[in-house]
Amino acid sequence: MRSVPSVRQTEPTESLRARVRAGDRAAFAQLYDEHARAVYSHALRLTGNWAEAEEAMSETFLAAWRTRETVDPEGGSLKPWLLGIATHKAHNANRGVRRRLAFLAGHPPPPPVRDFADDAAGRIDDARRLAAVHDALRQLRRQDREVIALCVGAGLDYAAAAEALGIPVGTVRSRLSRARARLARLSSQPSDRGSRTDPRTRAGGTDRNRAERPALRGAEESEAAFAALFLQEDTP
Amino acid sequence: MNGDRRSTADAPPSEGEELLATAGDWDLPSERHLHHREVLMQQIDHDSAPAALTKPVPRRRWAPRPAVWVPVASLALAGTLVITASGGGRPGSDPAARTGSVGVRAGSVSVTLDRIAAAAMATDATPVKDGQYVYVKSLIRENTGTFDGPVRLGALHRREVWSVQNPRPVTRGGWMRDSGKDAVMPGEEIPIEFSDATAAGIDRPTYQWLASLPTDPDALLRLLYARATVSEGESKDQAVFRTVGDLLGSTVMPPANAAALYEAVKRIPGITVIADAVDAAGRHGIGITRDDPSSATRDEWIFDRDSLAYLGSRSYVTHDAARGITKDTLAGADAVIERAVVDRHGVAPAAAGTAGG
Repeated sequence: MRSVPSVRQTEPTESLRARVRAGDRAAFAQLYDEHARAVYSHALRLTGNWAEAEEAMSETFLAAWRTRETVDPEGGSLKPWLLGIATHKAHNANRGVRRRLAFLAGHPPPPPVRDFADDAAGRIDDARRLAAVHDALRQLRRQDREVIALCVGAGLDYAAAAEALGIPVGTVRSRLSRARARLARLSSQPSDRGSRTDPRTRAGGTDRNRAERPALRGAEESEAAFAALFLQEDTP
Repeated sequence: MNGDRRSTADAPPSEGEELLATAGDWDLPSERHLHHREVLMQQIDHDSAPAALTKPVPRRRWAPRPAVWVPVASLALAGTLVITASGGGRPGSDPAARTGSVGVRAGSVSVTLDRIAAAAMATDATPVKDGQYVYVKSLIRENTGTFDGPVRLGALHRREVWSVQNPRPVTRGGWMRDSGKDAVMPGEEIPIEFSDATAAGIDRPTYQWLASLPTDPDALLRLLYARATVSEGESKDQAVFRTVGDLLGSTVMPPANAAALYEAVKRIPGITVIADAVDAAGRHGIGITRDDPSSATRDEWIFDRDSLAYLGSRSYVTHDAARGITKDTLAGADAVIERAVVDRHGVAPAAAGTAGG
């Protein structure tokens, strides 16, 4: 499906979906401009890591380009589609972190993200919010985490989340319900309610190292995911 | 996990959920967005180019591309010998060099190049004056076969190059001296000539020219895409990757520019990391590679595992049925042994003293 650049421009009256399917350059530019921020934020919630999230965002749009012909010509916003790809990329990034830790063991830590925010206060606030959100999400099962990140974090409705993940709406409901119940239970635990000394749940912590120290249940799940990762394929 | 039995759908949101709902979005600085947007646009343009431009042409890219410029004199003397840019290495298919690239994700490419860039930023480089020479001593192995025949790797030998730093157009870009088995005119100092007088630039990268390049990776990448010359059969992406590789192995440049080059390379499509790669001197390290289906070649850069300093490179022909090549075949390798700034050509730094200290 190759076409020369001059032919690639589709009628502006066509739907964005049709233009994306046709490989229209401007349509992808529009897609990026409208959704890059949401994709990045979603990837951040799931990875808890600035660099991974940025990479996942970039890969998401490249994957969207490659898989443009799978877009349904009928439908609404393409945001669920992009967030679905981003969910997958973020999952792979989390697996990649484990791999890299082995690969780069002994190396100095990467330099801090230089240009994330200009003012230090904003940067600390961003890191704080991220640490708090990621701390909450990491204690959930992967599937539940992804659903609640889409529905509550990114604000998709049930149908859109179902579209993003390619699962039935009923499954979205049950996973969301399970995620909510677990968050509620964790919030009500004495250790969290009391002096809030547990570093895992203390909102506002900015220690980046904690990202590498999974909560207990998270650790078990990560190991399982790690064991399975060699059997999995990346998205196109 | 039986949370759904005790559904909290009607209950007020928990603290954790509240946090998730109210934390809002995060965003990248606009220049990062511009960058990723441009990466996407470049990929689209690349994939949408007329088929004729991207159709694989597994041709000899081995047209002489030694170092950055073409030492015309040595080529003429070489006759049918072919000098590859980054010759050298060990013969054989070297499957070991490739293990490790499989399954390494793009994310780790980014992380690895970030670290290489950070290491480059932490090094020192002595500014070079216009009247001086940049001296680079390498060990190289070159393809001594013909254009159309199978690859015949020559023996490992030494090459010294003195690059003129005068920014004005010159026809003499410098001097080179090879020594050892399979060297061209061993021990003789050969002038590197340009057919047309050439000013400092991408074809004659002096220290001052490199220092003048943008240190913003995106601006630098745009410049590289605009100026890199595409060789027969290769993609534009590969032309840029190869050009950067030539710069890395043949110059002295300020740390900020070196770091920017590595950051820029991250944006070239198709870059992967190799966990273990070997330079022509047998030094193992981390490899950065790019498989170019268009020209059926693959170049590798090797970096020290600890210092992340550039060590050398390898070049492979990945496929060329006409030449009987059906798998990755090493066609050249090199290893940078020494870089220095000297006041006179033909003299090694040990004797001349590194000018400027």
